[in-house]
Amino acid sequence: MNSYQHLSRAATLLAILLFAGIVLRANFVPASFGKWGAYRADHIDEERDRKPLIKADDSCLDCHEKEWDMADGKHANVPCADCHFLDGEHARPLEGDQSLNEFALAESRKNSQMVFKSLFAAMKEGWDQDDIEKLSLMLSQNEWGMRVRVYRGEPVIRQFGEALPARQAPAGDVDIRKALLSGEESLKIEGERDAEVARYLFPLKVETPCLECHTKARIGEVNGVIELLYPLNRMKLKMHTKLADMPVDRSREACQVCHRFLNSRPEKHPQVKDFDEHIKKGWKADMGPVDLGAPCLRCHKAHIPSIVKKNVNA
Amino acid sequence: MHNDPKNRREFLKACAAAGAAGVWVLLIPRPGAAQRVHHIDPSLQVPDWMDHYYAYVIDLNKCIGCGNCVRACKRENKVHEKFFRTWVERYQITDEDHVYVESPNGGHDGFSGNVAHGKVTRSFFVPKMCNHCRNTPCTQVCPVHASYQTPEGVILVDKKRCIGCAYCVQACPYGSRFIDPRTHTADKCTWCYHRITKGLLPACVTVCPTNTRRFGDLKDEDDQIRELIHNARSSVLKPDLNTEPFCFYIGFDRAIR
Amino acid sequence: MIYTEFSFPNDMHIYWSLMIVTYPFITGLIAGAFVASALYHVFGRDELAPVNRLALLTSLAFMLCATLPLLNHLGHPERAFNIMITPNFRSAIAGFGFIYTFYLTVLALEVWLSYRPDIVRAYHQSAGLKKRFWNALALGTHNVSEEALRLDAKVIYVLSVIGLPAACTLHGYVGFLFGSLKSNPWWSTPLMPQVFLLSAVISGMAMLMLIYLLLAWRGLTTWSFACFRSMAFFLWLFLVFYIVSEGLEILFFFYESSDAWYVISTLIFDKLWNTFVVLQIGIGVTIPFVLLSYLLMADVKERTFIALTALSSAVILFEVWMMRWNIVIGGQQFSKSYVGFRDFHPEWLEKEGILPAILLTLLPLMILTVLLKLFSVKDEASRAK
Repeated sequence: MNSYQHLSRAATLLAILLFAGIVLRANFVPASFGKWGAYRADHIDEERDRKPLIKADDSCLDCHEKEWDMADGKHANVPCADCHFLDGEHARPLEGDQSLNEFALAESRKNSQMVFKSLFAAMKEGWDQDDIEKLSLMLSQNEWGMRVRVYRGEPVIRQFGEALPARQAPAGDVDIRKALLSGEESLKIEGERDAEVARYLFPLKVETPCLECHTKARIGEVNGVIELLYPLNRMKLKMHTKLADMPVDRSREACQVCHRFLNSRPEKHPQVKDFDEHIKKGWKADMGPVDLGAPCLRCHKAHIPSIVKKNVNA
Repeated sequence: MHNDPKNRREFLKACAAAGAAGVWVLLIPRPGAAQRVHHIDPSLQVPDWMDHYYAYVIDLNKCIGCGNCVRACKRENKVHEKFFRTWVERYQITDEDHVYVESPNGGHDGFSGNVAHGKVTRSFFVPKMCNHCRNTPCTQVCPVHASYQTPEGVILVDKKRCIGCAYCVQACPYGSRFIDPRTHTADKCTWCYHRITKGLLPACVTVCPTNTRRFGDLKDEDDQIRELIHNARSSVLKPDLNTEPFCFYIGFDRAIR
Repeated sequence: MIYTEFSFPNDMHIYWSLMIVTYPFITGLIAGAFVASALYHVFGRDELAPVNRLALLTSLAFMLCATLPLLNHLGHPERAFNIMITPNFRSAIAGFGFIYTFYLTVLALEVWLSYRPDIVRAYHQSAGLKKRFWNALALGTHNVSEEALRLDAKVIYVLSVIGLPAACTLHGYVGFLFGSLKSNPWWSTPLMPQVFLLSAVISGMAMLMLIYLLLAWRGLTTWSFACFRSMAFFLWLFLVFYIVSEGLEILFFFYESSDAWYVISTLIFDKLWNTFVVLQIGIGVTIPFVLLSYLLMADVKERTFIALTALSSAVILFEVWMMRWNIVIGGQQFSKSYVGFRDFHPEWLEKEGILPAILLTLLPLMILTVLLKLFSVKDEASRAK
């Protein structure tokens, strides 16, 4: 029996305890600890996964209980104030309806004016219906896929006779007849899903300069109808460039235009449905324009980068 | 004697020995040291946090003391009724430099009446919360790494690791931390981490009717908060403690504690 | 600027209460008792031989209980080992796990080696289950030859040398825990570790003297007046160091008169007037200092010396406990606004109340009683008889 046996046993015991401690410790360190830093990485996810509750200032709820409940789904936590700026006079009227229809109408009117001006210039040169047909075909060859057709109205038929059958409006076309009779423009979206076409009818009302050649026409009568057909997705592109030019405080309306658009195909864009529901149900002309710089874009930044840029620079 | 080569050799030897001992100290395996990743492996599923560094701006000129933020915070984070993740103080200072401060129920129910005696020359509200310091005294003292700073600059508390020692509560110079009596763990403002990581604003900012509270991302070149912090003359709370808070106050007053 | 009282709304609670008062008190007693043993082993104060074995045993008894107040304080005691599983080395509390474990190992080894001959003797004299118990304690080897004991003496010396700084670290660290918090003007001073360490030494010494006196009176240990007198001298010496440190601390606060002084002056002259000025300074420091100074200078009878020293020791124990209270509780009686204050009234029966605190302070003494039943603390000459 050597004189240090007890010491070596004590040392062995301590070594075993130390080893056991190290092994135990290794087993108790949480699996995700240290993944990104000296903490349990899973906690980050736990914290991120918490569901946001607050929608907005409670004070809205006091008076707008119905509207409060409308905001639901993915956009449930978008604060009211983001769109309805609370600056004390939160009932500022909206400057015109900026919906897709409005946009398409304005766009179509402009184009129709152009078509009419071309027609007018051609007719003054004494062109006949064949020449006019050629012109409309030429006008139809544009990058927007817009097609142009011209139909004769009652005063023209009276004076020059019916157009060739191929150039007459389809017999059952109620819209054209309506436009010829009433002289009111119309916009309709027709066609299959994903290949929708906006159809705009522009009645040409007789005015003083027309009477120079259309001697049998009377002022106020409808000489004819210009029909413009737009493929919708092409129009969206065009609108997009338009939106980029819009002033900053219009960006919410810009989003709304797109959203109405997308909502025409809810199956394809379910994410906008709830938001659009809210707008449809709750949208009134007295809801004020936006401030705080395009709240939609805070989340949807990738959407329209040029708008974001403008938004910040302004 | 200094030039005696033998002495010098011995001295060098001693130095080498001391150095070796020092190396040994460094080699002692520090639990958790291996996992302390500074350069995050890009192959890992890293959240987008490297793109963000958040900051908070409080414009004292604008606060009207409505308490919306306190109420929203309580609801959003289910804060214990006796404690506050954010609160609002009212300062009233008289012409004799008497400072009257109050924060009844943390400003939860707003403010009423005048507590000051004498002619009040300045009166303003001061919203307060966790300052999410860069040089944090609270995560420094947390013994178990339950409290930590995310790469976005947000200080969080892992309630599943926290042992409830309350050391962090003692270390915070701003009174922003407390022990939640329901969980017996530390609790504090997270800048609504669950909201800001979803692109929303913290609850208190969301409901602020006067834009007193602003929140933003310093790494986002387009964020207005960058301009605000760089251009406005702002202050932080207790700058002498070198905690480097990331809550900036515009319109600061020397009376603010 | 003159502030009306205002506390931050979260600053209404005193989180560190009686348990955190008890904890440094108990750790202090460990360090103090160990210092007495080290004075004998390392500094060659041979007159302290009769108290050496008792000092080690006392240290061990208190050491075994040092973590209990902390555990009772934690919101989640079941997660206590997190401080060693995922320790944050920038935190003073995380250091506790390792410093404590290291020091406990050193102390346990030293006690074991010192009492090994007793363990082996008990093994030889007992039978049955008891024999197995002693055998396990002896780790199955029973060599108490002269050569083995000489080796043990060497190891004990080494352990003493390691143990002294370890004991100082353990208690200095407690001071660091408070002193390193810049958020708290009453705590934040580099003098805090010294104050804690020196108060630990005097409390441990005083406790040891009282236990020694009690055991000698009951005939459980060898009485030596020289030993007692020497301890009284060291008690006085460390008391002087302690008074100077604590006095300097307050003086600096006062003289610098920074923002902190508003808080500290309010504490001293209002919130802590009774506990700090009257009880701790007025009674706790003054009486032992005057008495011990007098006893060391004057030529008094042995009985008088013993009686007055015992009184001083008891008052010092009280003083150190009050000092823990004033630091720990006092440091939380003001808000971080530095202009708001609050009172603290401990309850008897709550989790961290007065009763648990008393029980936790008495527990080490009960453990010591058990240890004294197992081991004799008499010196070798008396044990041989």
